[in-house]
Amino acid sequence: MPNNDRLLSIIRGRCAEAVIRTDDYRGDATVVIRPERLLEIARVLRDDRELAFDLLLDVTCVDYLGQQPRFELVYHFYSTRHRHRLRLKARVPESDPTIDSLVPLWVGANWLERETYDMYGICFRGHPDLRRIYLYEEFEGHPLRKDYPKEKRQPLIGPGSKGTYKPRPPEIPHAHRVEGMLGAELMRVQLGPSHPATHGTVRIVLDLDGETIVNADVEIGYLHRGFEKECESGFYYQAIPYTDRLNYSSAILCNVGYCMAVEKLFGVEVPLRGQFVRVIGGEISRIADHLLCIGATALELNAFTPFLYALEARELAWDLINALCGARVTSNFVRIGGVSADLPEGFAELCQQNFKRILELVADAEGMLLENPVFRARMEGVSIMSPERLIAYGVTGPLLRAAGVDLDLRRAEPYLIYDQLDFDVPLGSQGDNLDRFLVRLTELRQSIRIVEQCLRLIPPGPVDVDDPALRLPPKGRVFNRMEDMINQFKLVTEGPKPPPGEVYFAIESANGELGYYLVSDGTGKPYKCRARTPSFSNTQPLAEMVRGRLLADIVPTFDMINMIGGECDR
Amino acid sequence: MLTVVVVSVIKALIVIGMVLNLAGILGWVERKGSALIQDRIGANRAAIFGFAGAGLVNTLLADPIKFLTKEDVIPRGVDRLLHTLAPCVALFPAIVAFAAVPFGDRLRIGDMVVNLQAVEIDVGVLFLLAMTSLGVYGVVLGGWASNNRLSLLGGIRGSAQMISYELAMGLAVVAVVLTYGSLDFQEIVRRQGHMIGGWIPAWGILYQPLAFLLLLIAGIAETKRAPFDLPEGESEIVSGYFTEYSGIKYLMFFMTDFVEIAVVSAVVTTFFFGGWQVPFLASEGFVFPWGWSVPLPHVVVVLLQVAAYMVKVFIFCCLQVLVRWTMPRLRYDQLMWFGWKVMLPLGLANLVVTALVLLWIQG
Repeated sequence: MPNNDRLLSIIRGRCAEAVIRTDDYRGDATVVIRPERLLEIARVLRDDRELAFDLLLDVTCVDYLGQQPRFELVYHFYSTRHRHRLRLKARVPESDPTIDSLVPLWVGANWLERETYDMYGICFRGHPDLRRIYLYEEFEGHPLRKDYPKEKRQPLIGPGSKGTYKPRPPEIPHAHRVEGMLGAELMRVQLGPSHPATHGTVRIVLDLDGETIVNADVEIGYLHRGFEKECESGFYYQAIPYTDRLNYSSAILCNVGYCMAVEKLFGVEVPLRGQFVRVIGGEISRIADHLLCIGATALELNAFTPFLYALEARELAWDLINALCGARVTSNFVRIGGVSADLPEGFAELCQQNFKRILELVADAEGMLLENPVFRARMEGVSIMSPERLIAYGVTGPLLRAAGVDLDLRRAEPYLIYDQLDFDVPLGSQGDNLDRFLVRLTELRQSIRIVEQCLRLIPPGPVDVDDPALRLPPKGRVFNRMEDMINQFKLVTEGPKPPPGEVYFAIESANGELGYYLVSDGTGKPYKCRARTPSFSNTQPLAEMVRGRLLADIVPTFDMINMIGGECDR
Repeated sequence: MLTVVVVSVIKALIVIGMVLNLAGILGWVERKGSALIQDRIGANRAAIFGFAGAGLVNTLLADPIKFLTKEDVIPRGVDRLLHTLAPCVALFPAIVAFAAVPFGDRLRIGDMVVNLQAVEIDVGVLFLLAMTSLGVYGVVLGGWASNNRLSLLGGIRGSAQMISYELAMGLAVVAVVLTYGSLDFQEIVRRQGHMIGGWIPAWGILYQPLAFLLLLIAGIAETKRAPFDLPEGESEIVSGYFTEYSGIKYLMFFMTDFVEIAVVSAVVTTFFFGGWQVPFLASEGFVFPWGWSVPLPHVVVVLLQVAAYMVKVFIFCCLQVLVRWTMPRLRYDQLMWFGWKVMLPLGLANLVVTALVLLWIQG
């Protein structure tokens, strides 16, 4: 991209002596810096008017075992003003894996750095609360390091454990020691990990003064299952089913993001029809996701009836996904270089029929909720957070749009065929829970509009790339031609092999920016496969949003954040 | 003397049977009703020989048996006495409150006149208020004895809510009492027997529409059901004051809710919808204003009245089920705001206006 050159030259100009090298690979601008200068450069990146990288998307690390220095920290930035991206890299040695913390600049770096500490053992100087985030304190070692065997088990309790574990009372680090009303003691309450409102396992430890929340701490990680380690141990195509399980309520979107990241690594583009099919599948997933979010919010405010209406509508959306790929939840629909199947016959009619009913049900649920003064009173003005603060936390997606920030990657950096489609990006004004609800409701209707347009515009042709290095040849050819037989054998046993390099690719998933950062060393397995998931960043401000509010306000706020355990805990 | 005792026992048994069965039936109505509202099939596993309607009978039997045979879990650190006492304390006043509510007019059997009311007390209204006030103890004890912070929160919420809404309820009741000049339920019902202009039944709703609304809303708040189900707000505090209950004790809390629904319906019916009165039904039979009359034997008239009473109560129970399945839950501050700043001033205003109007009419 031409503006990457300009961007990189600006950065080189601003902090020449801190930059080791810059490069621009497949459109990703990358700057490699000296680790001791990180904080200084980061400040320039954030505050310089021409750079204005206000969104810290991701912090992670790559373990180059055997190289010196061993660990490479990778930061991804985005500018909501200029809409450009940057990758910042800095190497730290194994003997002293320490680097400055970015928490003073971006409050959202907190959890990201804790995760990096947890997984790689990198220490962040100046981090306010450097604890493990996914794993338990008693865990030994750092599992994403290349020398940590994948099969190693460290159960905390039960067979195979050391048996030294003692349960601790719940703690809130850095809790304000304040007295309650009339000098009363605060009451410490735990919501979760198993609690009716915490769909997706999460624990919220609270200090309550009567019903008012004084301190809050959100503890995630109960659904951590080593997504990255699993992906790194398999071929590129074997990671697709794992991506299904990131955001299991909109699995196809996760598939699309991953496959497009791999395609970016290969430098291939899917034929037009394939792109249309991906948009159709993805948008139906988005519909299902928003329906669940809306329904669950209603349910947890005890409006059971709209919840069931929303779920019936989601069933219909799932019927469509079922027609596309034969599965309802974990679809495993998209392939590297195409999709698993073309649209089935009569799909357009089925869509028309189901969308009609979905819209009816949504209108009913909407009427029951939005015209109900109790529902409005519960949502209006609750958990407002300024757009600047949300951005500092790295929040994206409907949450950010509800606060009035126009950032939708389908618009901002159109991928697939979104630039040919006509749809609106709804924005909220106030950023309260009602705005968040309305944004999702409107997006849902826009997604239906998008699918209807796609079904009208979809051109004939192949859905897969015609590249024997990526897609399996048809069975008829495999059985009759030697070359295709060999090709099939190699693809299955060795996997497609991308050229060495690294890419970051992001799509607009139902909850915000879903990005994949892939590092290839030229073999069939990804050297690093990192998913930047929106739920993780979106859940982080929860504690701040509910502080000072009533206990009951946690419920709608948590629902509108729409934390999906699989996506948040990976 | 013996006959008086026998008659009293029979009446008491009738009322208890009525209340408990109504609670059971409401459990079924709630399941089927919510299913109807929500586009689902609802409870259909308890059919007899494939006849789904029989599910009602079956549910009445199956539910208690299921709960009775379940393990009664008592967590560690629980105050055993209070933990066991709480559900009883909750259920007892709710059932007893029914005793004062008349379900029919006088029944004459030979020389004996039986007042169709379990207990004939001339201050029935006070008795009812006293009994509903006692209900709060079950909630508080359950929350406190459970040794669970979420239960405690539920108990505190429950007590604050019930005390707040009792005021509005009391004020609404006082206005009604002023209107009829009696604290006796039977008397209040009889006063609603005549026709205004010969056509419109002189039911309380015409005299006290605001009190009706206040009493109904406060009543729903007393039953702790949506939108006032904060004490059990399951998305915030799991199940509130009965989080730590299981088996038959859980069922007792559950039944308390349904019995309270029935109590609220019965009170609303008695105060505002003529209790057992049937429009145009006098003691000799139907007398219509356009001159027709259908003479009926005394027993049939009494049975019709009892049936009318039960139908009215059932309609209000269904109304409350409908409300429960359409309304989301209020937040604590909103609940308090509504109770103290809307219901209470309205109740006071209603009382003052009622008093002034009465003064004007009588003076």
